[in-house]
Amino acid sequence: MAYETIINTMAEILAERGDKCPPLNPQTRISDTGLDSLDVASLVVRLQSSLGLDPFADGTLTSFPQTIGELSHLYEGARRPS
Amino acid sequence: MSREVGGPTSQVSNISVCQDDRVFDSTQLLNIFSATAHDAYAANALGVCVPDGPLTISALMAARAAGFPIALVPYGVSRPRVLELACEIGCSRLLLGSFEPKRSPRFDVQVLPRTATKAYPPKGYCNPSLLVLTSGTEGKPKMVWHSWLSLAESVLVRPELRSARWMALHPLTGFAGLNTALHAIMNQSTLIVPSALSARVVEDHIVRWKPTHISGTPTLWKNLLMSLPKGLSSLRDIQNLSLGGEIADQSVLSALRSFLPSARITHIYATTEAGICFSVSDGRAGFPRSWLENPDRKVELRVKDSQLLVRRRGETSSAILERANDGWWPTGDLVRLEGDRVHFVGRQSEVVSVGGAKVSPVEVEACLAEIPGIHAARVFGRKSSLAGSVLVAQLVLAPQSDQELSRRQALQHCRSRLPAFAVPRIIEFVANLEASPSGKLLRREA
Repeated sequence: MAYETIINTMAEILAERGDKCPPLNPQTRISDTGLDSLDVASLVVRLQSSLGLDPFADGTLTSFPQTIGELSHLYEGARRPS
Repeated sequence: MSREVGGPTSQVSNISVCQDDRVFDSTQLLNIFSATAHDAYAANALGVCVPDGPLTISALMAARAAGFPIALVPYGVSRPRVLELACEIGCSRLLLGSFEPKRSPRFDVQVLPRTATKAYPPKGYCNPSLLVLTSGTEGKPKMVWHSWLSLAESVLVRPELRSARWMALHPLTGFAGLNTALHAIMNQSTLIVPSALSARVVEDHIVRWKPTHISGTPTLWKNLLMSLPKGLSSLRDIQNLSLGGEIADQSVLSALRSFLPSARITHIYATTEAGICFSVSDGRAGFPRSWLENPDRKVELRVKDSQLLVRRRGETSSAILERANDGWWPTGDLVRLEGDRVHFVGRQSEVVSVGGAKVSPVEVEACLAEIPGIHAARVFGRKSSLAGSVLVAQLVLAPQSDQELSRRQALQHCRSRLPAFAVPRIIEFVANLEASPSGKLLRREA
């Protein structure tokens, strides 16, 4: 599941530098997770290696996700390159 | 065209070359050339692509003595590419060779069609003696002609250096290795050339041949510092260690200082185009600010838009002659002025754009190297769909360092010292830092 991978990776980024991870749910805004814009960029790079896809890379995105739920939908909706 | 026969020292040098368990004296070295490459004396310009060692020195000695221009192509370049390069340079003969540990070294001579090229003879350059090629792993290699006279300017010749044993841990085809080889040739002393630059082979050569003067890149030395046994008695023979080819940071200088307490440790700044510009021996990274804008220096230094410019007096290389009318050469190396010191911060071409901000990997590496458990670091950009690049740090940990703890320390230390965009967002652990064939740290992702 993309959602599980996303929240685990977010927690991992925060834990790596010794920061506490707030409770995360699909409604949590990405900006409230404690991750800054470059952390989110790093999250997307990490998800590219764990999930094998990057929905931000193909240039077809029309709106950017703001919550973890939206982000997870984006990954579920993007098809793996065959 | 006129040619300066033999250069400033045309007498036959009394050098010996040591490799693995073999020694070649100057008579043997010259014999290799006259026995297997006699035909090459007819060369218009001679291309040479051989493994570093007796063959390289044999060709260099013959070229110097007979006064024909020689182009050293890094060994490891593929055969078709070597032929292509030799034709491009305008070589009429190409000498090839390979490692054959049990047999006598010999050249394999290829006769090339003589074609007019832009590279040789270089326009307006009257003493083309030696062509230095950059490795050319990416794009077109740079080709720069130097004269024996300008090369000899940075070689120290002293009677007491006759007994010196020079060990080159740089490829002999690049400027740093060539400089070590020329020191051995011009001082008529001994040159030790390991058959490979792995820690084990280097250690074997140190134990067997006991070098007194040793050179290498900071990246290579960081790897050796983790593998050479500290109590190795032959290390005590080392009087002089020179670092070159890339930036020497304070951590490698300090670690070498405690590893080789009695050796003089120098870092040398050279470029393919301008040759050796200066060397620093005070144990500190960078160089004194008072060297800038000093007209008394043989190679003048200036900073413009954070970039180091150099100007060499007198004899210079073909690249500088072609390009700069006032003689100032833009080195592509970025510097920062800090108190009485000028510090190198990296190559212009290595700067990573993170979310639009420019990051110099060298500065981040230096910050990471301040943490005790971290032995070495490499920082580079990984392509990101959101930020252009995300900064990645690969760390080599000291033995017994814990990964999770070191990662946290690294991130916390960087966050306290650097702007947010310069803090690496991905930290990986590796056993060794990857180096290019010339021993320089690779800051690109494989």
